[in-house]
Amino acid sequence: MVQDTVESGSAADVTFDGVWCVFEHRSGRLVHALEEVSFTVPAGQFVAVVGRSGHGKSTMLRVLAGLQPPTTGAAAINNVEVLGPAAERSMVFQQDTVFPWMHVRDNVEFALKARGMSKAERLVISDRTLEHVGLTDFADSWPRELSGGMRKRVALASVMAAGSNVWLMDEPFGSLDYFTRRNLHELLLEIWEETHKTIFFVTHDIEEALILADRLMLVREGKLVEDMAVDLPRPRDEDVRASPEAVALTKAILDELGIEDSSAADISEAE
Amino acid sequence: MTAGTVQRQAPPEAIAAAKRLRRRAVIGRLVLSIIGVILAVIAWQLLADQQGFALPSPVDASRDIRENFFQSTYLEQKGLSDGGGYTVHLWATTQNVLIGVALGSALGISIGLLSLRIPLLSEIVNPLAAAFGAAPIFVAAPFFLIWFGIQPSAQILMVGFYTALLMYIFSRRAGDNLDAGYIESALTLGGQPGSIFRYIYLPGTVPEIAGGFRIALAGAWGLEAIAELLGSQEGAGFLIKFYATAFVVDGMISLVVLLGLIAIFFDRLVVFGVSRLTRWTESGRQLAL
Repeated sequence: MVQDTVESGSAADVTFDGVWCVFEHRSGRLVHALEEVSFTVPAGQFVAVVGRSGHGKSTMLRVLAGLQPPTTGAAAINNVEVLGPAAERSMVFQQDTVFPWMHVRDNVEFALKARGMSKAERLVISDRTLEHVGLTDFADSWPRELSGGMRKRVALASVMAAGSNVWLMDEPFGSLDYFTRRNLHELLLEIWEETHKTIFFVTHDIEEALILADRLMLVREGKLVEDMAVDLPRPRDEDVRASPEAVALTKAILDELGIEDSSAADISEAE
Repeated sequence: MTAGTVQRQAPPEAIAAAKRLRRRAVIGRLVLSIIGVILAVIAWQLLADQQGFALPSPVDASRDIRENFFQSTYLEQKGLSDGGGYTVHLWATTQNVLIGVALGSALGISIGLLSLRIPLLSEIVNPLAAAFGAAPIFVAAPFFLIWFGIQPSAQILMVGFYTALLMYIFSRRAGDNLDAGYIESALTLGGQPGSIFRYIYLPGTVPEIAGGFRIALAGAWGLEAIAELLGSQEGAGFLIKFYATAFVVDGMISLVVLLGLIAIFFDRLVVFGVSRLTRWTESGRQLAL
């Protein structure tokens, strides 16, 4: 498998240049998962990709991850074309992909082990990372012994420890309850503000997007229909989210995505 | 830092209650197993009491075992034992089964898992596995005897061959069934084919492969007995065939029961071993209790 080589550890610029992803359905019909998507994201930006289910958000992330080659066009990290998966673009998936046969610590150390790092070095990094996500006391636990929220922390810790330049997050908190999601939002923002990684966060929850992101990319039927800045002050508490600016932003998003029910902060409810 | 995750110590009475519940669950399972055995023995006795049904009772079988297990005058008179009674023949069968299963599993699992990394291997092996797997053992067994004689090696080969087939299928299926999300996650964390095979495929496929192994082992006892029935100079199957021709039904039943008990013993051993390997699963945790 060919991998691009980009120095890991720091954040990175991300570029999409005229990317098309076209699939042939078994009925013979062509499905345009992505249609000529182009953008540039500077290093350290937190981008939320918002849209309805099945409109291309996850495909965009998979192209960036190198898991899905574009039909035409190219994705690049720091001007190096994405040709396959690599540790500098780690992904947190919607479904639980924490390895159940490894203890929590071994999960966190997987990327380091794959790189050939010594046990002593791995221990230092995993200790630090586990402390950061609040799982020090669970280092020797099996994932089945943890709650869903805790397993998401393990997934975050694995990506942190991997030292990726770009974090790709595909509706990572979608299956969790409101309170757990809030805690994880705080954790993610805390880590981002410390590390300034470039983050792509896919969600269909507008409120979640407004809490987290600097920039919103709205995807509709495979096309990037709007690319807007989120100029709300941080931290984005309830007062900020209830402000006229936030409400106007929400309405603009719903309009762009063609959703008439303006009370639906979660786009999936409006479908 | 977000909310702390340290657990408070539970009160002593809660800990004691949890331990009591766990003990009750373990004892409950044991009691149910014993009840199952007792019911089976009662059913056996009831069937044996039927007129015209040539089935020795549990009492007859246990008497036969007592008289012949360690030493058998009857078998010595027939030249079928130099001392050691049933134990010699049971050991011969057990040996062949364990060797055949060990060799067959090693081969089947290796090829099955390697075929995940080398797709060409599965293209070659799959049709062969389907073809040979479809051939009934009663058809294939005589060929093993013709080609390899009635030596123990022929029986080991036959057991090993079918075990390898079964374990190849289970290993291959286990790899195919492994959630692709784990592989993709490993790839995006920088996993290379070698580390993905070692740290993802190998441990991730253990539960399904272990299940297949239990099935293969259970079947191996029957396979070995069939091979001995068709042509052998020792073993439980050989003795059963001899007893059948001499109409010593007590002996036949005794050997079947003894073989069954041996099979159960090794199955429990495998279950224990598997529970250690799969402590990360809920069922592995249950088995480990």
